[in-house]
Amino acid sequence: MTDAIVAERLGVRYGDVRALADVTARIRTGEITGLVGVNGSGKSSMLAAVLERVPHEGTVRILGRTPAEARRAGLVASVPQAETVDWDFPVTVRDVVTTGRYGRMGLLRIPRAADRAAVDEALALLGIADLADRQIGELSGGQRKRAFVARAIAQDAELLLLDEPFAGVDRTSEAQITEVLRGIRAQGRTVVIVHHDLSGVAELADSVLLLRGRLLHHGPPAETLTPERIAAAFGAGTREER
Amino acid sequence: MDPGLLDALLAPFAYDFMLRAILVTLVAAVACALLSTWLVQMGWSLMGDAVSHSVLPGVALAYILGLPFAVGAAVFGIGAVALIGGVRAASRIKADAAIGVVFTTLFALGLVIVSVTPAQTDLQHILFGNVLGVSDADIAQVLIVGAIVCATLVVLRRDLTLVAFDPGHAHAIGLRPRLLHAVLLGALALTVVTALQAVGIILVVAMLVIPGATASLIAVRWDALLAWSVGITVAASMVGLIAAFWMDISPGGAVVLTQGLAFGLALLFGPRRGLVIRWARARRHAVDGG
Ligand SMILES: Nc1ncnc2c1ncn2[C@@H]1O[C@H](COP(=O)(O)OP(=O)(O)O)[C@@H](O)[C@H]1O
Ligand SMILES: [Mg+2]
Repeated sequence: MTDAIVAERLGVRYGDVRALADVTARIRTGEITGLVGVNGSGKSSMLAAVLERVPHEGTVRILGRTPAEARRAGLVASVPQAETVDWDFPVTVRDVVTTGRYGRMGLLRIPRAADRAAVDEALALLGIADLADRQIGELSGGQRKRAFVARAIAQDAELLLLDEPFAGVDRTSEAQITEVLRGIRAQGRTVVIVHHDLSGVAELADSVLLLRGRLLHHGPPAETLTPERIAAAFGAGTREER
Repeated sequence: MDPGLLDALLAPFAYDFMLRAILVTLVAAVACALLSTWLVQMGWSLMGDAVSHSVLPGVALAYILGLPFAVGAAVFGIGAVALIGGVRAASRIKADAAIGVVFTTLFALGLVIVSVTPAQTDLQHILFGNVLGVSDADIAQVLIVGAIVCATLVVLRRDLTLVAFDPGHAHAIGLRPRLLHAVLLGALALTVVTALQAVGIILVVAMLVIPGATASLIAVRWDALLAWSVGITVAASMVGLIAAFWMDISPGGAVVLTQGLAFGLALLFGPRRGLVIRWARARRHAVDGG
C-alpha cells in the first residue's frame, strides 16, 4: 500500500534558527504514529513541513501525491496546538466543525444537508453536541480539543495530523479522543500525533518518531522508547547537530 | 413621534448636498464596517492607519495629473503594502516599525506635494474630508469602488474568517492564506478610497477600526459580527451627519465621534465583554464562592 507520508531529507529553518534537519522517514498508512521529543525539538515544524506550510528543505509525498495535491483533494486534516488558537475569536463550536467541510462546499461555503449531517455526526461522536452553539472559548481545554478533532472527523480526511491533542486535557476528553483515533485507524486511515506523555504514546501508537532537531529513531514504541534513547532525546546537554 | 422632531430629522434630506453626503458616507460606512471586522480580529488595525495615510501622495498626484483620485489612492495604497513587506524582508525590523516608517514617509511626501500644488484648498479637503461638497465624479468613484469591495468581502467572508481564525487549517484544506491576505489588503486600499471622501484621510483609520472593535464587544458569531458592525456604523453615520447639519460642525468629525460614543456604550453594556456584564458575573462568582 502507498505510504501515508514519505519524507526525504526534510529540514526547516526560521531565519537563523534551525528547527529540523535531515528527516527521512516513511509513515505507513493505517497506523498511528507518534512524534515525541522535548519542547523545541521540531515536532510542530515537522507537521508544518509535511503540509508545506513553512519553507522547507527536502521533499514530501502524501499518499503518493505532492502536498499541494493532497491538500486540494482534502486528504489531510490538521488539529492545531492550543497555544496557536485565538480562543476569543467570534465563532461557535459548530462553526469550527463546519469549516472541516469547506473543501466540499461551493465558493460561498453554504453547507448542504450532507455537510450538516456530517457536522452533527462528528459533534455527537466527540460528545460535544450539546455544546455546539457555544463560543469556542467557552469550553474546557479538553472540550476545545474535541471540537478540533470533530472538525477533522467532519472533513473525512485520510490523514490526520494532531499537534499535542492531549496537552491540558482531562481524562474523559483524552479517553474520548483516543477512542476516536483508534476508530480512524480501524477504517484504514492514518494518524500522526505529537504526544508529550511517553507511556500514553507507547499504548496508543504503532510507531514512534523520536525527534531532537533531527530524527533520533523511528520504530515501534518498545524499540524506540528505551531508556538510552529517551535519555538522548530528553536528557540535558547540547543538541548534537549544533 | 413629536412632529417637530420628525421634521427636524427629515429636514436635511430636503437638500441635495445632504443627500449626496449621506450617500457617500453610507457607502463608505458599509465598506469600512465589513472590512473592519477582519482587520480588528487579525490585529491589523495599524495596517489600516498606514494604508490610509499612504494614499495622500497618490491623491495629490492624481489631482495634478487630472486622473480619478481613486486611481492614485489605490496605486499608493497597494504600493504602501508592498513597500512595508519589502522593508521588513530587506531589514528584518519588526512589523510595527516597518509600518511606521513607510506610512509616515509617504504621508510626508504627500504633504510636500500638496504644499507645492497651486489648488491647495481642494487637497486640504482630502485631509479633513469634504463630504458636503463631493462632485458627481467623486460619487461615481465611491459607488463603484464601494460596490467592488462589499461584493468581494461578502462573497469571500467565510474563507476570510477561516484564514483569520485558523490559517493552518485553511492551508491544509487547499485554501491559499497568502492570497486571501492579499485580497484583504487590496480591499483595504480600495476602502480607503471611499472613506477619505466621507471623513478625510486623517479619520479614515477610525472608520476602519471602531466598527469591528465595537461589534466584537457584542457578537459571538461572525455573521452577527458583520451585521452589528454594519448596523452600528450606518446608524452612527446618520446620527453624525444629521447632528453636523443642525449644529454646523465637521461632518466627518461628527460621524467618527458618534462611532466612538457607540463603542463606549458597547464597552459598558455589551452583552459579550461589557463592563457591566463582567461586573455582574464577578459579583455572582463572589457570591457563589463565598
Ligand atoms: N515561527 C517561528 N519563528 C522562529 N522560530 C521558530 C518558529 N517556530 C518554531 N521556531 C523554533 O524552532 C524550533 C522548533 O520549534 P517547534 O517545531 O515548534 O518544536 P516543538 O513543536 O517540538 O516544540 C524551536 O527552537 C522554536 O523556537
Ligand atoms: Mg510544538
